[in-house]
Amino acid sequence: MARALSRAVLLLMAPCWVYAAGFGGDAAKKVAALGVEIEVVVIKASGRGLKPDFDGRISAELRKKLAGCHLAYGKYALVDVQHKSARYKRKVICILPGKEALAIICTPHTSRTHPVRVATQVIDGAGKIIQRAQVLLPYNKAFLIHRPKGASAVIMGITAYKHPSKMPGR
Amino acid sequence: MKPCPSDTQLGAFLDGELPEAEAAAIEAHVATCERCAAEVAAYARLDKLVATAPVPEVADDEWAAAWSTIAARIAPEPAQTSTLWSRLGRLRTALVPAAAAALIALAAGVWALHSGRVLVPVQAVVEEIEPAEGYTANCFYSAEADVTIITVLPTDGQEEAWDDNGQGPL
Repeated sequence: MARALSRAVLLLMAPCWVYAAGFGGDAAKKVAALGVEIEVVVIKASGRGLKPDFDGRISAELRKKLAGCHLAYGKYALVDVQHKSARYKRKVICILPGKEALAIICTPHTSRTHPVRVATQVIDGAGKIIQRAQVLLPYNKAFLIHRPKGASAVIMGITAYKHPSKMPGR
Repeated sequence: MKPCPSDTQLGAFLDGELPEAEAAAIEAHVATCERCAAEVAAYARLDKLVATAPVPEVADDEWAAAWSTIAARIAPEPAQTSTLWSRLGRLRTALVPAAAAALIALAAGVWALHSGRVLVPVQAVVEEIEPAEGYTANCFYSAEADVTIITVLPTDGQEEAWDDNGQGPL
């Protein structure tokens, strides 16, 4: 019964999705000209402890995310919050402690309007790229990069924002 | 002396329905057993009585009345009319809610198209992750915190810890 139902829904929704792909493609081209707001929250994590001590300047939402990752650090201190306005497909650089850097390139999704593709490069103090990653995620939703070094770590909370007025179809 | 035959065997003996050997054995037994001889004599009188009793005539209307009740009991089930709709049977009960669900999904899809909310991912999807030589990288999604975290760390773990003030070049 459930299988038959899902098949029926898939069959009936197929034309809708095909249409959506075309619609989204046009909208994505419009969005590409607008650019994106990138926020990088840099946090230093140190020590060990079951009940972490959070810097009061870290947002409640980010605290919840950090606590839910169970990284077992004892203290989380806010180092910096960096905002960058960028055009799509252009690299922006965020400075990290220890002369390291984080390069970010945002690309709009080719067929959908809401998700954004965020490519990141973590660059060490000598200018060497030590890690590349590409993440597809909704706008306004953070993901984290955890860079442990010795007993402490730098954690980057990366969010790509798009103002609601810039959303297509409004 | 052999045990006495049963009443059924005696009845069958009298009617000539037993095999020859068994009939001979019972005949020999009856010749020496007073009780069985009396029983066989009683059966013989009963047969004679039945044979001489008059057979009542059955009128045609009595036969017709009897046959009508018998015919009603042995008549086959009336043949069911078989249409495509009736043959669908149980499938029909499954198709109705499936069609309703499909219509709702279709309506939701059309609404989503016109409002710009088109099939967005609900969490970050790590499409690619590539650590440089000497580093390892991994990622996991914390359902508790609804966040994806990417970790990059040296393979040998020999990097110096972040400086204590966490400020670095900032």
